[in-house]
Amino acid sequence: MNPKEQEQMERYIYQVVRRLPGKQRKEVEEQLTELIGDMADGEGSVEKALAKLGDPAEFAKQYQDGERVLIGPEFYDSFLWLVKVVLLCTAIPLFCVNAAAEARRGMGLMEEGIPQAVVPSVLYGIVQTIPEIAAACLCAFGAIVLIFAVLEKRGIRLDLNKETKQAGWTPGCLPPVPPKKARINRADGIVGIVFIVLFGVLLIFAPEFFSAVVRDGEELAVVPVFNLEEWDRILPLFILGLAAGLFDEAFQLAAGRYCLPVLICNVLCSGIQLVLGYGILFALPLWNPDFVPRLQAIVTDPDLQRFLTWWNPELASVLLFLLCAAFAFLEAGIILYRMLRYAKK
Amino acid sequence: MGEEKNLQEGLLQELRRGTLVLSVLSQIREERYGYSLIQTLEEKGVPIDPNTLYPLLRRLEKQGLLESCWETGGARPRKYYRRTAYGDEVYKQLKKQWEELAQGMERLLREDGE
Repeated sequence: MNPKEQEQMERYIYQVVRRLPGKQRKEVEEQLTELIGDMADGEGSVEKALAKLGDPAEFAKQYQDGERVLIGPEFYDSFLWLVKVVLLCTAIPLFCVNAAAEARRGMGLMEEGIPQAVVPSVLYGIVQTIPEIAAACLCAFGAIVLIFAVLEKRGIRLDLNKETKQAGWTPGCLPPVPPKKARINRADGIVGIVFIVLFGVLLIFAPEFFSAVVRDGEELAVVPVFNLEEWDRILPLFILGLAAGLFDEAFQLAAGRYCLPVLICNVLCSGIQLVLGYGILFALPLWNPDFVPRLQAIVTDPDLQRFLTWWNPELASVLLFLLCAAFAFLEAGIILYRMLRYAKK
Repeated sequence: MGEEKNLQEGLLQELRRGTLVLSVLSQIREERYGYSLIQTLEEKGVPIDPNTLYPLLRRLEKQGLLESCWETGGARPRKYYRRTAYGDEVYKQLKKQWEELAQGMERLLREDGE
């Protein structure tokens, strides 16, 4: 084998092994060196041997054991449905929030007496938000892919009939068709998913949406409820909590019926959400400290002034936490009830 | 026409794929290296592509049907394969099944009479 042929062989081998997992590479490299050497002797040249071996990409494909997929056919339909819902819930509200902000700006321009600038300015503003919407949709898509990839990778098949695998399948192993009330259909999850995504989009892109809007003389004053100066510390916990909620919803969707894994996943996700919620409500300065003082300075109505004296952030945190905890217990209770009531039959 | 040819090739490939393991196991009672297997199978009218054989040998070794060792004494290092005891057992079973299947297929095709 001359140096040119040696290089040709090395090129071919590299193109095969670079497509293989690290631990297989050395062995395949040695085997291919042996094979190409033998074939070159038989065929007359390395060139002819390589032509006979064919495309190195095809060769490498033969070495790949099993299917290498991120999301398999079992979860694909649920994944596709969830992607559509989440993308719609991300893009539409974000567009509306941005369009509303631009419209408000447009009204300001009208009041300033330059109406001819309103349409181009508002349109320009809306077009400028498109990259933001695209980025948000990409993040949402990535989150869903990650969730389903984890479900696929962990091999969560949610097959409760484990004895089938041990003793071999017989018609007696067929599980009963779950009654309608024991099934989790897409409509059950949609409220939760829409709420999580909407809340997430608003918290990330428009936290000022959670504000009190009051008339201050000729203008509208917007006083945020949350402490936006500390938002960089608060938002990550919110996002993690919402991601746990979304994972729970995706898991329920993939399971398709009320069963023990669904209950366990729900309890774990709710637990994570409550811990994060406790952190947000009690360890971080969630509430805007200027909320009441600013409103008191603006509002003149005595009824509203009296209402503002009731505002107590500590109490609000406690009540909100209790509400979240009650909701988590209620949801787990419903799953447990439906699991015991219907799925065992 | 091209589609028809592709279909025929695909079906033929599918038909042959099922016989590959048995073909390889039949030739590997004594120690053999990859290229010599390719040549032998080709001479005996059951050709196999190298890009099919090498991954198959690796898989059979992983499944415990074959064992291998490197010989470094010759002109170039070579990996030799041979059937394990478990491989012998599996081969016998497959061979028996094949003989029954071949008989059955022959009857079916004879009845067709074309």
